[in-house]
Order: sequence, then structure tokens, then C-alpha cells
Amino acid sequence: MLEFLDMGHHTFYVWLAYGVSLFALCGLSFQACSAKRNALTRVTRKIDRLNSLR
Amino acid sequence: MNWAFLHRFGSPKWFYHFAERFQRPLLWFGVVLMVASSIWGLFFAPPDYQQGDSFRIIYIHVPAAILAQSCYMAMAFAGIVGLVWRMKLCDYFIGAAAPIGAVMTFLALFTGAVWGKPTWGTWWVWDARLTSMLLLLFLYLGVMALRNAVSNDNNRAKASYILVLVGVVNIPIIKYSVDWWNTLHQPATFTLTEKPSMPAEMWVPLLIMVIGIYALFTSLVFYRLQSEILEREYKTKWVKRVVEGLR
Repeated sequence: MLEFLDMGHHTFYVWLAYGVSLFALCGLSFQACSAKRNALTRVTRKIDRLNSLR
Repeated sequence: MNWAFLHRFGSPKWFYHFAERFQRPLLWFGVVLMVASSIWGLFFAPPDYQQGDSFRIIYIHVPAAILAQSCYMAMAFAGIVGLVWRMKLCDYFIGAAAPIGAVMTFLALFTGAVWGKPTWGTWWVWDARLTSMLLLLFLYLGVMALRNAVSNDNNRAKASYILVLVGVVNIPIIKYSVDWWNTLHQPATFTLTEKPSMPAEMWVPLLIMVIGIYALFTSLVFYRLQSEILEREYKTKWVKRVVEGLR
């Protein structure tokens, strides 16, 4: 296991690349999903406001 | 052949429901493929005879670089369609895809730098391939900044189409930079016409990662496009029905 983590003495480079990519892809996915949720909340509020003005 | 079915893709309502059906399966399909490919690439692929284990970074670097370029090509295609047929979904698409393309370009540059240090002995060189990729990142950031700076919908759409189309000239430069100039970056390892120089146990996980990252990209674009459509079309009856259905 330690040998695997060591990555032939390239531990820092390999895990840094994978770590940053994982972080970026998770962030992108979370942001996309929450953007839709937030858009729905904002649109619901706008529609309610339009309905109340009528 | 009857091309009328393509007209549906121009309807925000049709596209919203189309995206709703496919976004989640695509997201999970992409995640499963990417996890499987990472496990294969990290645990089971043999180390490279020259680069050792640092070559495993290509399982992220190559798919991110391919996607960064094809995302820009898709935006340019949307730019042409938007300019010629004035389809507003093209404008929404550019808004949805640009941040994802920017992140992919950043990942390609970052993982390339991290791979370059143990392989070339340096994080960065002003090499034609690296510089043209950096330019691609600036193009993505430029499109995003432009879209935030212009408040009028029509002007924003037109300005985005033009900027995206002007910037597309950079894509062949990225692709052929390794052939046109003497670069530190190696030429393409894979071509459509030749057998890969790598053994199958090294390139198959790469292919799986490429398919996975495209599935993830499509799914994320669908999510972001839906947000754009909802925000811009909230006065329409069908959006009201969607919102009512969720209460």
C-alpha cells in the first residue's frame, strides 16, 4: 500500500494533480447542481411577486 | 432526409425537458467511468519505462485538454448558429459552457505543469503548445467577463458570438503547434489513423476517462443550461407550470 502511495517517488506530483482535479470537478458539479436549485428558488419568488401584483 | 427534428433543439421549453431526462443518468455514468478509469490508471496500469509513475497524470491531463478544446469548438458552433439563425439557446449555451471550459483548461495547464516538473525539470516554459493553451484560458475568461459586463441580452449574445468566433482561430494553433514549431511538448500520442504506441492496458483507461469526462461535461452543461433557461424564460407559461409542479 505504501509503495502504491509512493508512486515511484513521484508522490507529490501524482497526488497533487489528482487532488486538485478531484476538488475542481467536485466543485464544478456541486456548483452546477446548486445553480439550478437557486435558479428555481429565484424564479419562484419572481413568479410570486408577479402574481401578487395582478 | 428530413432535418425538421433539429428545430426542436431551438426551443428552450423542449430543451429544458430533454435535459431534465438525461442530466442525472449522464452525471452518474460520467462519475462511474471516471472513478473506474482512475482506479485502473492508478492501480493497474504499468508504469512508463521512461517517466515511471508520473505518467499517470495523463489520465487527467489529456482528457481535460481534449475537453477544453472541444468545448470551445462547441461554443464557436453555437456562435455561428446564434448569429445566422438567432437561436437564443445558443447564447444560453455559451453562458453555460464557458465556466466549465475554463476549469478544464485550467486543469489541463495545472496537471501539465505538475507533470512537467519531474519529466522536463520545469513547471512552465513559453512553448507554443503551453502558450496557446494559456491563451485559450484567457479566451474563456474573456467570454465570461464580457457576458458579465453587458446587461442588454441581445448585445451580450452578439458580442459573445463574435468573441467566440474570433477566438476559435486558436484551436488549430493549439492542435498543430507541436508540428509547426519546435516544442518541448511531445507530438500527439494518439491519432485516428494509426495504432496507439502505448500498450492497451495504458490507453484503455485513458479512453474510458475521455468518455467519462464528456458525459460529466454534458450533464453539467444541461444543469447550467436549465438554470439559464429558467432565469430568462420565467415570464412564460411553461416555466410557471414547472414551478407550480415543484411546489
